Amino acid sequence: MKKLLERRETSVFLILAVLCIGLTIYSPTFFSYTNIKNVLVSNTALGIMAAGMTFILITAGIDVSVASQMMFSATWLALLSETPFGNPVTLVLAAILIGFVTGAINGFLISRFDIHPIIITLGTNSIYRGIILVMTNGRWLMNLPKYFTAFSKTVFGIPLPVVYAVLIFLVSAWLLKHTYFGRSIYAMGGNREAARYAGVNLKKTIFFTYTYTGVLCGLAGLVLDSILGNCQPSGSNGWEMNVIAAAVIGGTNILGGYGTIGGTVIGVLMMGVIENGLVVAHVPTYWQKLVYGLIIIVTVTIDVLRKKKADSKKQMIEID
Amino acid sequence: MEKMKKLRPSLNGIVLLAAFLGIVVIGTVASRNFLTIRNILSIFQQMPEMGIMAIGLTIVIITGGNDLSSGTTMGLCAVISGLCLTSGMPIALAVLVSLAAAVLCGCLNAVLVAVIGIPPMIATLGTQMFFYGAALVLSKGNSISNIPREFYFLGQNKIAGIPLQAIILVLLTVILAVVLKKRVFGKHLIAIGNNSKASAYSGVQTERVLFAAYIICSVLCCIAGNIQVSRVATARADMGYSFLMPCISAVVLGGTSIDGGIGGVGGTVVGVIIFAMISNIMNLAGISSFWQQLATGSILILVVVFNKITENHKLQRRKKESN
Repeated sequence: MKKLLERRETSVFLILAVLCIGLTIYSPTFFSYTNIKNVLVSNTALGIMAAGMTFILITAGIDVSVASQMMFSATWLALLSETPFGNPVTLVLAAILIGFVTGAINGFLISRFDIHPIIITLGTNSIYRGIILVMTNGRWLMNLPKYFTAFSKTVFGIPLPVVYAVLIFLVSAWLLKHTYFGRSIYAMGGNREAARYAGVNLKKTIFFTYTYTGVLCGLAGLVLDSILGNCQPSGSNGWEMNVIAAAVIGGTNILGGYGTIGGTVIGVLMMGVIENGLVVAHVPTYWQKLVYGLIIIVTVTIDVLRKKKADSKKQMIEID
Repeated sequence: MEKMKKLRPSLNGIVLLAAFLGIVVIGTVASRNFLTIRNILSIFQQMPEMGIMAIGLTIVIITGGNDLSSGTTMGLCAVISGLCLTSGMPIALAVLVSLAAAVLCGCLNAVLVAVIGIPPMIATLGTQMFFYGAALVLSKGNSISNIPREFYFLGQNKIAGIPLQAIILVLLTVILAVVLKKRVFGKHLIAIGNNSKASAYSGVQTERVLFAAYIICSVLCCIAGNIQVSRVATARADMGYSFLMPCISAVVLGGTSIDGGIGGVGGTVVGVIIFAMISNIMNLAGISSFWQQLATGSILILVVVFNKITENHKLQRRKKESN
């Protein structure tokens, strides 16, 4: 059983490896230190959010407000760095706090009123984005101070954002595997009713899941700002789709119950390599959306068909 | 008449009417220009695109589904019709080609949802990106201008002083309202929304009905796209992209349950008019468009939460009575 489940991640990993080898043969610049570093660094924010999205998808939920939450945090942080209170410590604290608030609002609305998460997060998506656009009047916040961009320095050849991302992946993987919270998430996504009867507090679990994702989005905002050195409040529109795609490609089941951080990391790398590969192969960037959309449709279809097959093997007694 | 009858008994109808009147009052107070014929006509020139898309979305949402790809379907159809028109194709043929594309889009959604069984939100999230990508690829990321003048009639003509697209919207609304209320197909749509398994067991061909629902939605998006191409004389891939949120909000505001089974197109149109008036008032008062995004998001959440609370109240009361 375990081997069978592991196969999904390994197959994606193999595809990724083949893709990388192919690209290296096509264009040797692909496998250069600078290019690899670029791919990794430019996808750290995406990866950090995708770790949170994995939690949410495992509960059979969804969050389409992640990009807005990230920009919400990024904009407030950029504004904070313009005030005398701005220093590395307050930035990190503010990132966590802001992410906590946006995530907790999502979590509260979804768990308290039991409304489909996509509706709530569609709503908060425009609210968070609307707030920062109104606040900044759509103006770009340029020239972030030195101590801010220092967050994305390269130390001993390793870019710091990648280090943060790896740390967050490790913490997330630990939360999922070795804590009561993580097991509740899997239980809930596998079978909601059964989890409830087994004593899992569904509302609390949902609330924590969205709040944790919010915090990760807050941190992603910090990382994004420090990498770019400026903040465009209307930017990274539509990233939520890439985040979902990354998690889904990595084997997270969109119907809940299955997913791993390791898989998501592979999914993020896959997205990054495809994006980079299209550039390396001189394909116009507008093909990107088409490819991503296709990937989502195909992977989800495979997931659903697989689940159907597995379900048909089980003896099912339905009580409605 | 149709609309009034539907609105009378429900709490949502009363709220909707109150919101409508409230916004009219606010608008009249906020700007002298609000309640002029010219302004009202201009609302009705811009609003039908969103209205047509929203009534299509209503049909899908009533079945308990959702079509997040509706906005990008509109963009894709707009681009296709724009490309056909600029290539010198006759207008009727160009519109037909875009309609055929819309039917294909609807079929793809329906296959994913009804045949394969992917949750509608997720399936259409994928197709949303796919259609947007397709539109970008077709238009090479550019906006298509030089739409032939003969095509302007669809979005810029007036019949007896009323914009043509408003008449189209009214016609489509009446047709769909009649279908939902009086036709077997409409009953089937609602039945699937209430309980898809039960309706399948009682002889509803759920797959076929869902196919029809998603195709209707895509075709209406295509009509909306063509109208916008004609009105602004350009076609762009991201044309309907920003419509999705306000449309879903309008559907929910109009009393259609997001879980399916309850609802109608009349309420949706009132919902769209309310949103159109809000943005119109903001424009007249010189408030930045960023506030509109904030407002639509807040209204969506407030309405959904309000509906849920009243629904829960009703359930609790029913439980008490049965005890």
